Amino acid sequence: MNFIKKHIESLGETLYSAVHSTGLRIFVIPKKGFSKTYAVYGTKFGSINNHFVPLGSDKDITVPDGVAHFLEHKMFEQPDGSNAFDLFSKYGANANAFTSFTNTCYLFSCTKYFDECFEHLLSYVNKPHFTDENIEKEQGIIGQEIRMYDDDGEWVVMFNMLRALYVNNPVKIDIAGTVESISQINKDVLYNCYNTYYNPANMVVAVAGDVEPERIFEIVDKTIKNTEYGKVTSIYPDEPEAVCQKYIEAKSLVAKPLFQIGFKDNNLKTGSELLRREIALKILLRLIAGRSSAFFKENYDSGLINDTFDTDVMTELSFSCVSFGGECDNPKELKEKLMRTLDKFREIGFDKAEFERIKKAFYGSFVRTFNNVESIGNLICRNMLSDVDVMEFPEIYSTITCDTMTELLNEVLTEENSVLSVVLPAE
Amino acid sequence: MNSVKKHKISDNINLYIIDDTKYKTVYFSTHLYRTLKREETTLNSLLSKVLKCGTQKYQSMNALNIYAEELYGCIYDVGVSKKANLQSIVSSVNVLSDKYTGESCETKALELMLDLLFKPYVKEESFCREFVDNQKDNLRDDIDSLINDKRSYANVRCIEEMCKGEANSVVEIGYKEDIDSIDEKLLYSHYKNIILNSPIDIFVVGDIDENLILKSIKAYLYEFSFDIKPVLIEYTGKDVREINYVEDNLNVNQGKLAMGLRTGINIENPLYYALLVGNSILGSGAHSKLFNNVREKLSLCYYAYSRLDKYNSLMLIGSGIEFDNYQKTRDAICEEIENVKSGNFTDDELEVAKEYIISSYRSYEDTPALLVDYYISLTYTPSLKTLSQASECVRSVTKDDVLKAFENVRLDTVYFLNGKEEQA
Repeated sequence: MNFIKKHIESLGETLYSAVHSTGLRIFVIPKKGFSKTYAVYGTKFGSINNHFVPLGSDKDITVPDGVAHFLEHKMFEQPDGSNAFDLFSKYGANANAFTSFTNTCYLFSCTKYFDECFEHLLSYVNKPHFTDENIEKEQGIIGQEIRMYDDDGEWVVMFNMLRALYVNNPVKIDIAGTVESISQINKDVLYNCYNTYYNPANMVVAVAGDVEPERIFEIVDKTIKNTEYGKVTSIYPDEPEAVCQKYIEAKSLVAKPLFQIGFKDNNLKTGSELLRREIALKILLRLIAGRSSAFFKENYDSGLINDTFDTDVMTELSFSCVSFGGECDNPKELKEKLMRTLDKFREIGFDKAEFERIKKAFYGSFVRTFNNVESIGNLICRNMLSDVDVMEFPEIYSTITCDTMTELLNEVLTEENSVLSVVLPAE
Repeated sequence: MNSVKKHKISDNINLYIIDDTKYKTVYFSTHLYRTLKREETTLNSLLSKVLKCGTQKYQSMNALNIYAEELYGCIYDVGVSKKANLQSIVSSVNVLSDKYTGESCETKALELMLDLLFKPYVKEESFCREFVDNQKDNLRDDIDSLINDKRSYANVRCIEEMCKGEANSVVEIGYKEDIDSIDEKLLYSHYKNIILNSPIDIFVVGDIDENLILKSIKAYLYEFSFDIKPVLIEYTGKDVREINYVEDNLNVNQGKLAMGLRTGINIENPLYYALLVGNSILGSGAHSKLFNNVREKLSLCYYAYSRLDKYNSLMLIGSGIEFDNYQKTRDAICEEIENVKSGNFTDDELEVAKEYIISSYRSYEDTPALLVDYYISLTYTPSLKTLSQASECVRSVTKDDVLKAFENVRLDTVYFLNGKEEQA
């Protein structure tokens, strides 16, 4: 009976949450009738955490770019020389991990042997085994991962946008680092990071599937041990409000120029306000340039944009920005048109019926997330790692009005907050 | 496991219903089958794009998008896909279940899905010219932008070189050089030619009222005079004479290796499940030989995998590597193929591969689109198994079966996407 139950009638879902004595937060969404169960175990350690005070030290250190991602790869190494995938495979489970700007998450999905897989997930992530030899081997593998992204024009255009938006914020650094930076990683660096950030109080585990919450708690309790942990101190550089550069360009082997128009959001939020901002910004972008907007219609019909056009919102505790991107033969012209559209909305405001319709469609996409155990697990894990209770969605959603749109338009989508990133086709 | 209920609507029009309360959504799709032909593929591909531009009721893409938003942001699409020698034009709508909206969006979504295919926006015996011109440009963009994803580009190039001249190698997206000659009149006359005489499957997955759906679909299709001849699935596959080596030099940072093999075994062959298990031992999953040896031991790549084309008896192996490691990687992959062929794998590897496949079959049930895709293969290959029968077939595969299946596996084409001279 360790769980707090929160049932959301309109969604037909119940979230069970509990805090283990180690500080690990546990979240379960039971999904009756689903074949697959998904579990994700995450820590608040991402590519932006490159400057911190290590556990047991009073002096801060800076670690090489790409270390969080490197550590993620190395967690799979087991003391007996095998790798953590082996046991998952034995149970027919699919295991993986990913590193984002802010988090590292370890996950699996299975259709049988859930208890065994779940125990394995918790236990291998709590057993680091780093040696100089296995680090060298990984440099070859990750080196190829980095090369793969170098050839991905969409990745390049997105990262260049972040480089244009941010002067100091480490979000501008590639998640995997560079071939050069990862060559500086050794086992001491990895242990320093691990001991500081892989601390149950800094972590979250989320499970979605046909499972009993109490059973999840029992397995956590038996697997995760109480030890002394320090407080995590991450250090972030000061970020000026102004963008770094207005325009950035690169070349890559792509068919048509790719672009991202980015806007820096300097008003960082926490908790419910962070969720509120994410929802409101997503609705705002759809209202301005979604598939039913006048902006989309005009530029799609004239052929300036095509089906690749899309918008994106990234709202985190330590950075926030929004973007409009896709393929376009003349990105500068498109950006001018977008800025004119924004000015027009500033002048005449938003149509209330249109706003309500888009808001309704957005609600649909939220409910849809609960059709899939992976989406549920990731949604819960990502938000809870930022201390955001995503199940507050229905209440927060209902407080967002047409006036919220106007406020955000004037606050975020301004000329001085904007940048343009373009990738031109290489010969 | 989920059961699928089949209802015959009329000759060569069937409705398949998978009734399951666990989903938040109802997924509707209609599949119209054509025989894949070079002279028709671009027409079908462009047609699917134009059908998305408007219906009789919602006469522009903008009007359709507004309507979709009113239905709680239902997701609609029309596209083409390919299985063996069949090209299908597919319209689909994924809508929130009425349980979660308190409105009746489901029947509206069903009608929208049917309208997209059967009641397009038409003026004076022609599609709208602006729609067609715009979508011709978009289709050119789609075809060109294949290069943006180097991994799939290498795979497509490998298959293209390997299957030159084979009927099933025609691509479903169409050909750029065939776009120019199509106009709104020609496209509409093609539409008229195919809409009433091609076999149709309709799928509905979700928590639905079966009788209501059946009645609505029958009523909707009643006004059309269908005269449909069945199309037959045909498999291709040929023998390997000698290994074909192909290289492209492009401005890339990483080399992409794609190796095409002939298996001699298609989905109707009794050895298919043994081939599937062998393929998993070789390169499908983190337990596989390619993952553990080519990636983990030799540290040559971030990814290396193999997958099967179950219709055309092909196997494709892909990896992204340093340009200089081409020979080394190719040799390492060939060694792993030989290892499977010669039975150089443990009982554990065999069992793990089987468990992996069975588990992925089970997980299909959680994703309506995957379920539909599986059941479509079933409708055209009657000898094929339901998911639980297929799982049983996998379960009973022995080491000898894998060896027998792999006896026929032969390397046919090695494609390498290399850098330009100054980089390589």
